[in-house]
Amino acid sequence: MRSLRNKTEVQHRRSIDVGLVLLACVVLPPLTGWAMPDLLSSAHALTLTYGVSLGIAALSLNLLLGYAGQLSLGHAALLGAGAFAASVIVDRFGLPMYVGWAVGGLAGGVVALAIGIPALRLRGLYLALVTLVFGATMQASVLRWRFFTHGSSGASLPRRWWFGDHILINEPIYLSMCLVVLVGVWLVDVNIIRTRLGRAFLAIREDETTAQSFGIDVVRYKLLAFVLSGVMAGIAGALYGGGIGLVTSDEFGRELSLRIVLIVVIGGIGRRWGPVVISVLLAIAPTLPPPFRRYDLVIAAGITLYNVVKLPEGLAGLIAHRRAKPTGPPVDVEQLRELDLAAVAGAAAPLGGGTVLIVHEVSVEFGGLHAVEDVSLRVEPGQIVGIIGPNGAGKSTLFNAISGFVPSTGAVTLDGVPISWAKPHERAAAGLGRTFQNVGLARDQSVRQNILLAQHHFASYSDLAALAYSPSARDVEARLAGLADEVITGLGFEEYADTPVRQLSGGQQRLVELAAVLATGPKLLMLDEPTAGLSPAAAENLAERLRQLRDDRGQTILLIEHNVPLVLDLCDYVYVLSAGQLLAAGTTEELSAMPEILGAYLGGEVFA
Amino acid sequence: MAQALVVGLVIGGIYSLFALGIVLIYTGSGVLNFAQAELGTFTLFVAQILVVEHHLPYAVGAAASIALALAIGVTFERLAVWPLLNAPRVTVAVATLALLALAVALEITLFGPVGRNLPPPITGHSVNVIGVFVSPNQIASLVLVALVAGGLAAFFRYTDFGLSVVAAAQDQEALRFLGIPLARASMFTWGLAAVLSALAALLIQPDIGVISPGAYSGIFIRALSAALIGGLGSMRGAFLGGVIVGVGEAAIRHATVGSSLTGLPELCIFAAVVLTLVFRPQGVFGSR
Amino acid sequence: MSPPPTGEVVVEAREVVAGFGANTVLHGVNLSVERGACVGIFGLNGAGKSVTMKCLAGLVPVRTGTIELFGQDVTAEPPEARVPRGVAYLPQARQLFPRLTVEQNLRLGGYVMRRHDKARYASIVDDVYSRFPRLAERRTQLAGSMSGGEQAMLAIGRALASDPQILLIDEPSAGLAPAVMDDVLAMLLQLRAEGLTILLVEQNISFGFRLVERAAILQRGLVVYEGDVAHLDTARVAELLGVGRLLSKQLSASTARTTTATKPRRTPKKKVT
Repeated sequence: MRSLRNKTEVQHRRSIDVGLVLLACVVLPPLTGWAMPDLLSSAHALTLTYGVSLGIAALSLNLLLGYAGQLSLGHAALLGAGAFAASVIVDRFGLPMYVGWAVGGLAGGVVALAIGIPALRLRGLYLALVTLVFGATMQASVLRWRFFTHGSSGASLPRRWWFGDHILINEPIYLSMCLVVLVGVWLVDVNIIRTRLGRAFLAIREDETTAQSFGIDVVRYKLLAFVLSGVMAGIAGALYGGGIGLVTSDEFGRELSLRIVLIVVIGGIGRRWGPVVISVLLAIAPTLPPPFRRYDLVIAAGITLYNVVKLPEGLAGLIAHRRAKPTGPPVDVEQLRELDLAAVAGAAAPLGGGTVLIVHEVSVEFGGLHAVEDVSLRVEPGQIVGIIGPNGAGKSTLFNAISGFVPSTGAVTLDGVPISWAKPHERAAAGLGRTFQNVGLARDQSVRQNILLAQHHFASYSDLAALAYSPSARDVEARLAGLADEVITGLGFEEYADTPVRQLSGGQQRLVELAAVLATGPKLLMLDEPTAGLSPAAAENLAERLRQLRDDRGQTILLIEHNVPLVLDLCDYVYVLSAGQLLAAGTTEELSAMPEILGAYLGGEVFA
Repeated sequence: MAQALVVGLVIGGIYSLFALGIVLIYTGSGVLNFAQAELGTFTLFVAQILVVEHHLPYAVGAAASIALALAIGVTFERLAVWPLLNAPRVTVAVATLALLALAVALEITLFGPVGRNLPPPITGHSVNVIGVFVSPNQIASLVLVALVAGGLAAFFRYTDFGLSVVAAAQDQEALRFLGIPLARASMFTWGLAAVLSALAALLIQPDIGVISPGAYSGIFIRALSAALIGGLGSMRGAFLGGVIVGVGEAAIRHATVGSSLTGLPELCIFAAVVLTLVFRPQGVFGSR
Repeated sequence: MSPPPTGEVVVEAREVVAGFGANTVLHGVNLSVERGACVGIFGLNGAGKSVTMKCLAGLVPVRTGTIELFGQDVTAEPPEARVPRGVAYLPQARQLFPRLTVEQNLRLGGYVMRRHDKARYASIVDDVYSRFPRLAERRTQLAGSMSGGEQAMLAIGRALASDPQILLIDEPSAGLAPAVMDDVLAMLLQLRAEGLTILLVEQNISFGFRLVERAAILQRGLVVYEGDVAHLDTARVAELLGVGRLLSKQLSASTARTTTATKPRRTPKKKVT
């Protein structure tokens, strides 16, 4: 109750803060410009306007690079698209400038969509490459076409207040309007980070496979990040063009793209204040006395190089590190004894009643080699089924085939629904929850963030609701936050709720992963070597907890284990894989009576 | 048309040198070196100053610029690439962006924004070869590009050290447990790429003319496109890609001369890059 | 039959602790291999077998403890400094250069020697080719395009090309068909008979026990059992390897017989469905 009240107070204070900032943005520049024209001359206001639009551009790239982990080297072309689109609207059709900003944002978004669709299908630096070539191409071609740009003389972009107005607003007022837009973009950015969108972006930045296993459609979210970034860049371009009043293609070349990258790297990748402050500093640098005026870019490039090699989080990261509290020593996994997995688990989706998982003649081929060959297996509701077999038998590959991470032939049916053609994130959404041998968590994020991330599928508000942080999104987020609190309490991890997963011990990470998956209430829980890295006592404990989960909640589990005694103890039914093929299957008693399993498991006749 | 194609071939050969440098570093360090062409521009300024302002022979200026490029390449490898050996590759890519920005910024502050001119090393009349006029510079350029490409191919194939550089691109750890110093291969890769950049900049300068800060960014884009079309993992692909881009650009420019839509060749190159990435991401000549 | 171990200690690991990040994998491994000996490390997945090998090769840094090679402390030495001492490491994944030819792979294996003695390298490579005629036939073929068995041979050949005094070999049987496994086993037995010191990591017990004369069993980063293969307590070994319970019935029938480790025997191909 108390914490609830605190929360509303915080929110209340936040809205007052935003109101004050907005008021300051609107009132201060015109007031200063009027009262002290020397302090804020129109030239200074113009410089600051440039800094503010650069700041929005930096936030735009930061959204893409800092959150989603994708690099764009042609951001200037997106700014240019926004600026020229705004010019067409405002100059040719006589519409007010804010309509121009909106159209500029739209143009940036559309262009980003068009480039992103081919480029984001590929992993790695391909977006950087395509945007780089695209930016250069635009500057050499479309941005020079007369239709948009009136040739080399440039297209005018008047600061028009109302339809057909010919009186233009002055620079300080324009600056205050730009500041308001900056606050707006900033708030949208905040909303992205505190909703499903930001969590999905950050998960993709860390590991696309993990993100998929949490049910995130990686291609869609990468595209969304790029389009949102494009919209912000388009708005930034329109604001910038309006400041100067004239848009020429030369402004939106490689230098500007590079400058935006430098700003984000210096200011701190994944942060807000740093990039905006650096943007304004770089904008006013040319008005300062030398050496800043002459060497501003040299200094910026030098700092960037230093930052990249020494401080990967940028200056803002440096400040945050100084502030960061040291975390407590990792607790031992023995706390498992107290753990009640059933309390951690989310509401389970009702099962259809039939077999939970049917795998029918699944094969996986890697370059002519059969890693898994014609394997069929079934998992009945409320059973714990184990898969054992020697190293390289294809156990993990079979898991990957079932969860959709490797292409396979054959059929997979989950609770009566065929999922053979579904993508990994769709299978996760259908109720297939899995863990990974090397722990599938976003390691730079906190325990709480990871548990929220696992709830991706339940954050069912629309993207627009997320951007606006509408009441519906707020309600869903509050409910998920409450659920995450419950899971953390159930785990006994209150102390580590906001600790990055990376700082936990291997055993603790494994527990968090299990809890995160369980919290989604999966129809089938797939565990890849759940006891790896645990001490024998802890492994026994975990097995006991899993058994409890089955008995108390009827949770269906399929697991891979190397710890054969544990599997035989725990599982209702066991499949033995060897060299990609199913060697045997049965209950513990049945398997114990098959001498050939020893041979397969340890290679030929062992102790004969 | 034939004239345009020959010019395209000469320029394409030089694109190939830039592209070779890009591919060399991509295979050796798994990174795109965004400063690949700008290094050449930077060192070209030094050659220009030595030759034009200090009246030294062209050969001295050229040698100095190549030596400087080597020094920059090796220094950058030691300071930024080697310490980031186990960092995500995007981090190293951003480091090369910083190097690019540093080079451009230094060019502007040290050499000024105004363009400079460097007279071509060989003067003389163009020769008429079966109806096509070829300048002595172009012939020299063609010969040099062929020599460099052939020499590199032989070096990577027949020397143990060259072989270890190629192997480093395939498995760095294996190199270490076979007792081969990885650091030397890495330094060599970056040094060689820088030298190729300086050499290519010297060769292409007579065709571009004025040297100004960032003047070769367009060339870098073409070289990068060549590497992407040919295949980032294939030196042969980079070489052929460079020739394809050079000849293709010259042909399209020749065909669309007078069009009001400027930049059609650039648009076509961009389209070719996107099509390659979508339908054959490993490049036209790449394998895998 | 191999010559008897001379008593000179070639590899000595003392209380080695090592791991990755937050995970400590080795908790104080002690191990010693004499010249001419053939020792195997066995254990379940995750017990730390491969990490032990990588520590010896220098690829994983040792946190505490020491590693000595030929009586010299090499704990802080990088892998490239250990090769000239006569160490050849053969990783589980083989790590051939897939886009280089057989000949080029071998050349890189002999890189260190070729720097000062090309003639010696030539004779060693001739020796490798005569051991593996199949490699001689495929000199110019790309390593990545060869079959699994050929790649296994090339990996051994590449390790031999440096003329090592000790072979650190990690799971040579992994991913091989039974017939090929026997070929590889015969090859390694031959090397052992010639007096090469071998340290082996294996999960395939039957393969391993036919090759080595001493076995160390690793469990959760500690050597928990060590002994001559000829006098192994099989029931204890089975239990330590985690299959004791499952196999107790079968073991009780077979413990009477002792294992003969040195005699290579054909494994009948089994297929159970």
